[in-house]
Amino acid sequence: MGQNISTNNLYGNALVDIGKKYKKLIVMDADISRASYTCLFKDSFQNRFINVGIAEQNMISIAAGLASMGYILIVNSLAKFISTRSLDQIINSVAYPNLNVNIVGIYSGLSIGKDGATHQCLEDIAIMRAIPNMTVICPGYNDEIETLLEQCIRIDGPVYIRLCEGLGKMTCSKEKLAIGKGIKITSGNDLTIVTTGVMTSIVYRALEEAELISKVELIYLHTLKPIDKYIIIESAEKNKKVLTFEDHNLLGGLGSIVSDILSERKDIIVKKYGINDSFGCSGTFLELIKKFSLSKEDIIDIIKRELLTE
Amino acid sequence: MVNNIQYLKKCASIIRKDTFESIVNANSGHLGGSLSLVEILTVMYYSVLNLNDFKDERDRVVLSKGHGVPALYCVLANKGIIDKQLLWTLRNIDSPLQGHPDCRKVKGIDMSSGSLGQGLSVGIGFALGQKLKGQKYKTYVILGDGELNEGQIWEAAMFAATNKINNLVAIIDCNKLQLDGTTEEILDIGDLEGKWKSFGWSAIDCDGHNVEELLKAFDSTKHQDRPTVIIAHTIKGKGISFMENNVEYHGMIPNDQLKSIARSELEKEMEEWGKI
Repeated sequence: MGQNISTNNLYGNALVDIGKKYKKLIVMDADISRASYTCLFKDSFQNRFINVGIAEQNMISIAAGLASMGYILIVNSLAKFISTRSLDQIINSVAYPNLNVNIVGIYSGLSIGKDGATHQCLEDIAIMRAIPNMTVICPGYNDEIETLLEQCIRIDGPVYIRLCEGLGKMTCSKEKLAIGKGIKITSGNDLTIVTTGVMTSIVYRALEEAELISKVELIYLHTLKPIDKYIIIESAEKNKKVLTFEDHNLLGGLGSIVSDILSERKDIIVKKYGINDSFGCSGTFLELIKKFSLSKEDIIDIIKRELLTE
Repeated sequence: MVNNIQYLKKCASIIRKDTFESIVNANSGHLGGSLSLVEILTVMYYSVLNLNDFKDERDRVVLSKGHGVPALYCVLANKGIIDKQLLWTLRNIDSPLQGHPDCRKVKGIDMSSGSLGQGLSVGIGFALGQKLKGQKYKTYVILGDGELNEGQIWEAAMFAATNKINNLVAIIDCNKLQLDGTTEEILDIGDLEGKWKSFGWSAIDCDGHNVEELLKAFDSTKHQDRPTVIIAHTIKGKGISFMENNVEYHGMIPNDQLKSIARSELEKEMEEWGKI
C-alpha cells in the first residue's frame, strides 16, 4: 500500500505550494494539524492559518463567513468528524449559500486502522453526494492530490475531498486529470470494474498480479459528484458486467452511484463490493480490508469468478 | 444616521405593523420572535450600521435567529433596500422572501440562516475577514436566547475571546421564551451576563424595546478590546396584548377576531408616534 509515502504529508506540502499561488487561500484546522500536516501551511503562512480547537461546527461556520468575504477556504479534520459532526453547518452555512469552502476529510474509509470504528469513515460519500451544490472528490493516488486540490479551490462552491492514508502511485498521466472526468486505466472486453480512492491501486495490482489487465476495463473515478456517467455507460454497454469496489458502506457509495446510472439497463449486471452496512473495528488497514473481503487476494478471486460466469 | 428618538419610535411602530401584516398575509411565520426584534433592528439599521451602499467595505449583519426574518424584511423594505411590495409575497412559492433568510436571493441579507446556533461563528468569519482586509467595520450577530441552547454558540464565544475579535458584536434578543416554554424551564442559562463575561466577552444589559437604551448600548461597543454582547431584554409578541409573553405565539397565526384586535393596537401605536 503506502510505499512509505504518507498521503497526509504530501497533502500538507501541496497546501503550501498552492498557498504560494493563491493569496486569498485560508486553511483551517480543528486541532489535528500535526496529523493532517496543515501545520506545514501554518509554518509558511501564519496569518492565513486558523486553528479553532476541537470544534468542527464552529470551524465550518467561520469558514462560511470568510468565504462570503471572498476568501478561499480549506477546512480540515478527520473524515469521520468533519462529515458528520459538522454536517448541519456544511449543509446550511456552506452548501445552501454555495460558498467556496473545500472540506478535507483525512483518514477516510478504513485507513485510520487501529483507532477503530469511531474514527473510521464509511458513510461520507453517501452523505456528501446528497447535498446540493456539493462536489465530491475521492483521489486514488498520492501524486494527483495537488492537481486535484488546485482544481477544487477554483470551483465557486463547496467541495468535499475524501483523503485516505496510504494511497498508491499513479499509473496514468496527470495531464488527464480533470474534475468530473473518469479515467480508463486499463482497457478490456470481458469485464468492467469501477473504483474510486484507495481501492483503485489495490484493484490495479490485483489485475497485474493475476495477469488480467488485457481482459478487464478498469474505470477510475476521482470525482463522485458530478459523476462522469458517459465513461461508465460506454464501458458497461460493451462488457455487460460491471463490478464496483469501495472502502465505504455499500449503501449510498460508489456501487449505488453506478447502479443509479445503469438502473434502466436490463442487459447489464452490476455487482457491488464494499462494506455491507456494518461498522469497522480495530486492526491494521491490511487486516481490515481482508476482513471485509477487499484485499488484493480477495479481488483476484472475485474477478476470476466473475470472468468464468456469464 | 438617525438619533432622533421619536423618529426611531415612529419607524419601529411602522415596522411592527408591517411585520404583523406580512406574516398574517403569508398565514405562516414566527410572530412572537419577529415582534420582539423590532426595536433592535430599527435602531441598528437606522442609527448604527454603516452599510456603505453595500460595498465590500461595510458593517455586516447575521440574523442567526433566522425565524425572526420578517421583521428584517420589513426594515429593509422601509429603508428602500428591497421593494416594499415584496413583503406581500413572504413565504410564497418562488418568492425571494423565504421563510428563513437566503443571502443569494435578497439584497441586504449577508448570510443565510435558519438552523440555529451557527450565526455567531459565521459572524466571526466576517469579522476576521474585515480584519484581514484592514477594514474598520464591525460585524453584528443577532441571537435568540433560546438559541443559546446550542453548543456551537459557546464554541464561537470561546474562539472570539481567545482571538480578541473586538469588531464583533452579538445582540441577544432575550425574550425569555422558546418554542416549548420558558428558557428557564427548558434549559436554564442562569446568569447570562456572568456567563458571557466569564467567556471573556464584554457584556451590556439593556431594555430591547427602549430605543434610547439600545442606542447607548450600541455606542458603548465602539471602543472595546474584546467582543461585546448586548443582552437586550425583550417581550415575545411585543405590541400585541394577547401575544405578549404568550408561548403559543411562537409560530401560530391568530384568528380573524384576534387579528382585528391586533390591528387596532398596532395602529394606535402608529398614530401615537405619527403625531410627533
